[in-house]
Amino acid sequence: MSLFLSGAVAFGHELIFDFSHNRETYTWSDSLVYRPSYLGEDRVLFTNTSRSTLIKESVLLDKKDRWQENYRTMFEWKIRQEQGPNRFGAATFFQNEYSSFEERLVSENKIGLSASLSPVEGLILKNSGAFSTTVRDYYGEKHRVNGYNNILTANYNHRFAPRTLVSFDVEHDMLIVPDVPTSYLEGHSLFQSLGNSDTVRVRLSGSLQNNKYFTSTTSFESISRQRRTTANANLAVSLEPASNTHLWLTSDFDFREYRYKHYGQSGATSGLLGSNNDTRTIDYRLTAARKLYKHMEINSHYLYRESKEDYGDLGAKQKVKTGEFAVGVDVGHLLIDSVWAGATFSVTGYFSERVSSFFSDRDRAMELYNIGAKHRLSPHMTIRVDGSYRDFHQTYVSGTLSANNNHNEVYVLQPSVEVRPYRWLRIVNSFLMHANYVWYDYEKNVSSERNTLFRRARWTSDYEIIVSRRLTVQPSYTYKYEDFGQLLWKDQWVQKTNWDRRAHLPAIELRYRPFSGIELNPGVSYEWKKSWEFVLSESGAIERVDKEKFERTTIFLGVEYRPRATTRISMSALRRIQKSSLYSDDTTNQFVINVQRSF
Amino acid sequence: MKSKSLIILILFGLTCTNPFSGRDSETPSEAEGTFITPVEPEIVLLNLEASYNEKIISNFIQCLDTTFYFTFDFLQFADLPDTSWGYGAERIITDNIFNYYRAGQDSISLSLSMQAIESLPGVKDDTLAVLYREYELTGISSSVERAVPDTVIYTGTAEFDIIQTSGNLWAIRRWADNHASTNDTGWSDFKNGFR
Repeated sequence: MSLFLSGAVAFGHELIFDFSHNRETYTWSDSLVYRPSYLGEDRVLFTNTSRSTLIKESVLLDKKDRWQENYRTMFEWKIRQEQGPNRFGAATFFQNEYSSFEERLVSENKIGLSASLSPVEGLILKNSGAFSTTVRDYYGEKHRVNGYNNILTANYNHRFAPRTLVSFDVEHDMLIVPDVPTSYLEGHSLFQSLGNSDTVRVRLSGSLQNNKYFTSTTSFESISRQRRTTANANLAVSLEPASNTHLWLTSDFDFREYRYKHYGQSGATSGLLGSNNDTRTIDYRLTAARKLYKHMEINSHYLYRESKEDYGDLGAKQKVKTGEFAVGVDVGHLLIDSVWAGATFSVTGYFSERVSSFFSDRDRAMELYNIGAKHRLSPHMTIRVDGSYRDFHQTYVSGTLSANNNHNEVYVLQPSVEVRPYRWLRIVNSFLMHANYVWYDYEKNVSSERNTLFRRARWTSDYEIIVSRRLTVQPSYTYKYEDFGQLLWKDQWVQKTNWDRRAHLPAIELRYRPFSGIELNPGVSYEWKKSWEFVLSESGAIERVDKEKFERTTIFLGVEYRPRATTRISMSALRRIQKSSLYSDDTTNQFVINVQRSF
Repeated sequence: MKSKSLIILILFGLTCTNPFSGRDSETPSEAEGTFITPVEPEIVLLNLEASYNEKIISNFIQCLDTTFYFTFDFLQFADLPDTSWGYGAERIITDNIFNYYRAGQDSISLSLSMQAIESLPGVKDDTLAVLYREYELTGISSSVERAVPDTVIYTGTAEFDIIQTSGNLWAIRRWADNHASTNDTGWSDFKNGFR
């Protein structure tokens, strides 16, 4: 290491170290990027990343410690670079990857040479070849494969005009080893023309992957082959057909096909075997926006998406079709007043390709309406109101599932007031009223415990007090109310409350900068919550009885030290103590430290 | 002329079917499934268990947040095709599982049980809960041609990060599957069989 540090010209080195502790989990990770230059034309790149996780006395492993470790180290020496007058580049590299998990590990080493050539402006060809050795050790049973890895890439881009370009990229990655060879070929092309008001962009891409892999993570008895083919086409056009009117058209086609073949013994690990499948999706979206008068804009979009999924003998073939229409209006965009409203309607249908008494053809329809307004009463006070209504309607066509057809409706109202009486004081009071109705189509007129209403209200009062240039204090208080119960239809919905709960949450947080480059962020919060439930008493009357008392105290401290722009050290610690009359008490400690240095 | 055109247009619109309404459904022929409004994180796992046993995909999907991802204990660089997946893949995989077991329910069955782990109580914050469950998933099939053997028991421990969503209800954001022992097959092996 010292060899690289002496006499080298540095270019953007970086060192990062992290440690965190959360309950029984300890995590260490680090990353080093070091790229000096010795001869002027050359460049050395050394990168190392590692991550170790320890779960102490894991219940997942009979109270034993559980380790997972991943390391990746790469050293590359670019002897010549293809940029500038050279047009020819060469490099040598070494790479090590190591991964262990409990009593299984994989280690892979590669050593090789790469060469790059730029014969004409805009074209770069690169090939790298490396000998590789991979060792897999599963519970003492070792398996070693030696092979050759070749990666060939070609990139070309050309500008016809300052704002019109075309580009092509091709990559072929091949690993030739016994038993588990892999091959990957992918290509991308792009055409883009940016005009003052009109823009066109077309993207085409495709890939072909052919991999063999050990079917089991615990033995080397069986091998599977996965062939994956993908294709994607994307079109985006924007137009300004008239003054103050914009149109956008986007369309996307996506195709994925997976084919599997299995060799050798199957057995207990056969669940890993993949099934042949393919999916193709096409969608288009047309969006329009028009400005009216001086401060009004209306916008609308229509989206259509169709996908077809084929899972062969699994009998899970289906088509999915989605249509969505939305319209919205904004009035204002002013500092003092603004009003907005919108509506969205959509339906997604699932269609089986075969008919049986168990098919799950279904539709999901949505209606969404939102409205809002903001008004600045004075330079010191602003009020805002948001409201919305949303209904999801799930419909199964088959009688075997149609008992589950249901509506899920949500009403939300959120007013807020922001006051700045002095430059050093800011007060925000926000309120939330929320109601969620769930009711089943075929159980509207009967007493069903599946028809429910969940209501929630919250008031939060936040304060920001700037005591001095170095100190800011942020106290806050939140009150919460929630209730839940069965819905009954008696010409209108009425609620039979099952339980309710109330909570008070005071908190205070400081931001203190005692010296330049240091910020302290201590804080404490307390939550007191009480729940009640409604039960049938011996006399037949419904009584409200205590259900749970809950207390939680959280203390935290954050410290950030930035002695200079290239160095950052941060630390945070948190301790949380919970007491509940219904559940076991809990104490949690969390600790995180992060060191980052660029040089 | 303009008003006539407008009236004709409105009448035409009224006679059209609402393109954003769902299809008509058959009258229920079977008992309803189980889904409790998830106002507590523990209820999400009850719904998850019920959706598996009743094989009702919409109830399962309601257990997941759209940022959901599934991971399982694995070795990196072990050349497995995948070691984690997201919301869309989980929906498709589970749809495959439920469709498969529903379509052949005369000859195959699937049952799931989950238990809290006494030595590892869950942790619950205002918007995040971490819950641990031991599970046993039993798949029975009479077909020898299937990838899934006649009777396979999948056991292990699952760790769930359950978050309070924008709708103020709880849903699973992260599901980490851990094999019970290195020789046992776990839930992730079962799911991989339906990819």
